[in-house]
Amino acid sequence: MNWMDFNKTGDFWKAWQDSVNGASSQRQATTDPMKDWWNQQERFWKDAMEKTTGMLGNQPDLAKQWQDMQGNFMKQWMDMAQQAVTKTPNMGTGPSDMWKQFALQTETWYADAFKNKLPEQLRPHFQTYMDMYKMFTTQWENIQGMVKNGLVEPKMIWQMVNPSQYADAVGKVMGFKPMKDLDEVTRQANQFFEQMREAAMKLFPAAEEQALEMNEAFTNWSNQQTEQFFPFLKSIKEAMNHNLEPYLQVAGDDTQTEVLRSLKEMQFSYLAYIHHSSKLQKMVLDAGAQVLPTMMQEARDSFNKEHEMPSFDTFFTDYMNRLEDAIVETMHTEEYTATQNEVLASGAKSKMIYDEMLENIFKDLPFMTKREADDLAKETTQLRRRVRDLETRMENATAQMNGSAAKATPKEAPKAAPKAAAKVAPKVEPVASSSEEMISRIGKAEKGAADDLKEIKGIGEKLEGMLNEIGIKTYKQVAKMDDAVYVMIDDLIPAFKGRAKRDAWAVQAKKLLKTKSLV
Amino acid sequence: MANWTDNIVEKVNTAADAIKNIGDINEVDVATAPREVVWEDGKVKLFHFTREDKPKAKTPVIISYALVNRWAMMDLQPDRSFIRKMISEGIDVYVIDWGYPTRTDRYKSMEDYILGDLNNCVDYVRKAHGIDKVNLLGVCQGGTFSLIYSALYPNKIKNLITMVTPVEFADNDGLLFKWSRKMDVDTMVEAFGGLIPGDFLNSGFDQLKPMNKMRKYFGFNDVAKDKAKLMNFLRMEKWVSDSPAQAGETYRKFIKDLYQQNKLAEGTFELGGQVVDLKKIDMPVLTIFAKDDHIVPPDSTKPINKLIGSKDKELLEFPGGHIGVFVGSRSQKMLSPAVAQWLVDRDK
Repeated sequence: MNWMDFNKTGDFWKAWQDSVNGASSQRQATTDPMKDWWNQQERFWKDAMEKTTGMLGNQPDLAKQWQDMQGNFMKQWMDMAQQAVTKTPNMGTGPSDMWKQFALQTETWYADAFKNKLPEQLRPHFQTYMDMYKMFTTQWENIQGMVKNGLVEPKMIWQMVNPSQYADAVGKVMGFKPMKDLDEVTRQANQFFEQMREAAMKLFPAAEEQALEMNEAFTNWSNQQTEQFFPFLKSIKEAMNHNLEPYLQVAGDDTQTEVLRSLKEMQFSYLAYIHHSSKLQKMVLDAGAQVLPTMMQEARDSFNKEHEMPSFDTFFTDYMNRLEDAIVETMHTEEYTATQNEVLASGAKSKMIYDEMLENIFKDLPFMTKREADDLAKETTQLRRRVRDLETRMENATAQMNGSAAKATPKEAPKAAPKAAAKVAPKVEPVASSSEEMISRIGKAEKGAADDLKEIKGIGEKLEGMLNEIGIKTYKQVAKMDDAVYVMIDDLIPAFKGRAKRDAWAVQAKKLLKTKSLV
Repeated sequence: MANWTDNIVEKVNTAADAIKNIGDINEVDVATAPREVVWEDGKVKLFHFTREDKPKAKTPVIISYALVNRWAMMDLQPDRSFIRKMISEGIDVYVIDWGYPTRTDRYKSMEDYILGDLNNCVDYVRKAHGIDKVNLLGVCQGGTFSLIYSALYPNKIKNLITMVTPVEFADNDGLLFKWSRKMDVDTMVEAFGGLIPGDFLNSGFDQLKPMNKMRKYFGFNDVAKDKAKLMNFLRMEKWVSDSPAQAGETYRKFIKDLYQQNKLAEGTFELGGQVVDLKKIDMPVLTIFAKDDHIVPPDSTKPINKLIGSKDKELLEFPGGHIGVFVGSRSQKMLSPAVAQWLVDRDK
């Protein structure tokens, strides 16, 4: 340990002070103890360095003095923090406890800063890690005590270590929604669907009173609803409640039948989903449950021999690894694969029925439904495929033509170089010849004339520059473009292939010319 | 007493550094090697990496990355970049950026990717360089695409490199393979509305080693106290979370024909009305697999060299995992130079 180390500590406190000041609305109140403490620190270190030439450890009195000083400061800080920054858990009495507390606080503090730099989607993973770490630190003393005293029977362990904490932790790691009581969850789900059905039946004759009743039923249900297992059902509720109700009122009678049928089907597949999920969760939890007792038994055995406990980090890392091994082993079984596929399939099916229900409700209304959008997407893809096919055929035909032309008049190089032609001269040469040809079709730009081609949709600064380079500068020229010119431009500027035609530059340029002549 | 004090001072110092480093970060940048778009169609782009000197090999290489996650993995940070290293070793590099499919792409199929985009990119490069054949380097799923393409157009590919590329889907114990074999893919595609979300794919990969997503945070304070380590950590995090969705039709065929029916290895895989015969691959082939790959296990990669018709073929084992192939220091020191040299040797 040297003076530099303490210097850094000093900087840290300063930064901390700034941050606390910044975070606090009670800026005035926090500044003074900090300043006071900082001055004390400075005096102390000056003194200490003179007396010890850097070796604090050799001077127990000084170390004690420093420790007390830290302790006092911690007290002040904790009081202040309680008011201004965050709620602080009850602290121990001695400076050592305070430091422990402080270390934890600091860790949380910069863990939060760190978390905010992670991509949004990964923050829950980090939070899970922090939760698990925290859970383990809080249990660590229990675990040590039990190992030292030989209380390592699984039964005893699960009395000290809360099984639901274990289930929560593993659930988070695996991305499970925790499901504590399958019967209760099932009952709630059934009740929900019953309410939905009743509401849907009442709703169709469209009375305002009944709509209100339905609203109430949903609200009650979602208020009672405490399990986190129902995000999907919640979304149904929200869709029905906020978005669909007015449309349901105008939908036809046959829609009612369809919606009721969908609800029934959804109920079955959703129940299946719940049950398969529960089975899957149980498999994983059971697989991992042996790990802690086994590790504690081993720790006990080695404690008997060596009279030493593994360090927290070692134990924690080891636990994570072995828990993973146990879970992965289960995941390799046929039963797990089958169950997982059941979960996926039943969950997916519920979602599909839900989508279908929405489609039915919306079908008489003047919106484009998902199904219609899908049809469009399908058609577009097929058209692209046809274009590709035609392009290939055209290229082959052109290549053949050029091939026979080349044979007839070998001096003439193939122009408007076709893509599929196997050998094409390096790009500079054909560019020169066919840009001339292209200009001959649309005419040269008048001397000094230049329009803002960026006005044409689809042309940006870069493309404008490239067009200028091959001699295209005015709307007048662009307005003269036809399909043949578009093909030449594609060849001259392959990076923007197809754009001229797609955005119908000529049409746009004609319009711009008109506007220009009006001004 | 001394230990106790040391411990605290160390802790505070770590915190001091960590907080300063964390506070200093404004942006986490990946894929920074200079490049330009030379071709684009819809959401797909072809990038050409700019270089100052003349390449050692006159035939450029096109990288076809997987549709899962992004090619940024190959240029994650300046000092650990497969692409930069290839460039500095004298290779002219292109990369296909498949973009981020949306629901309008739900019917985009493997045919569209391979016979459309990939073929167009190959043609662009052939034309731009005035050459008949280009080099193709496929990664993971993009490697499977490259194998299929090279079998259909052996006349356009000079040399083929596959990295961590699955081809044998039946005989291996990989969890992903096990699970996919029995998955009801039709229902999944339908339920997801024809677009398989990146999060769903990622959660599948995560499950293979469930603790990985937390294990990496263990000792994050030691990472955070070192600015360079912290940045690299965050770059990897950025890459992991950057996961495009996958077009439903492509996913369906990939799972059904490959994961479930192993058609490519068995010689019955069809694309655009043609049966793909891997024996038609006759150009030099370099097959790279990672020894500890738990996503694409060696058993699914190594058979490539038995299935193709090439005489000049090499199998290269990389000591590491699926991702280490691109970002590990060994990759930087050994693998990319070896790949570059392999290409230079076959450039005549």
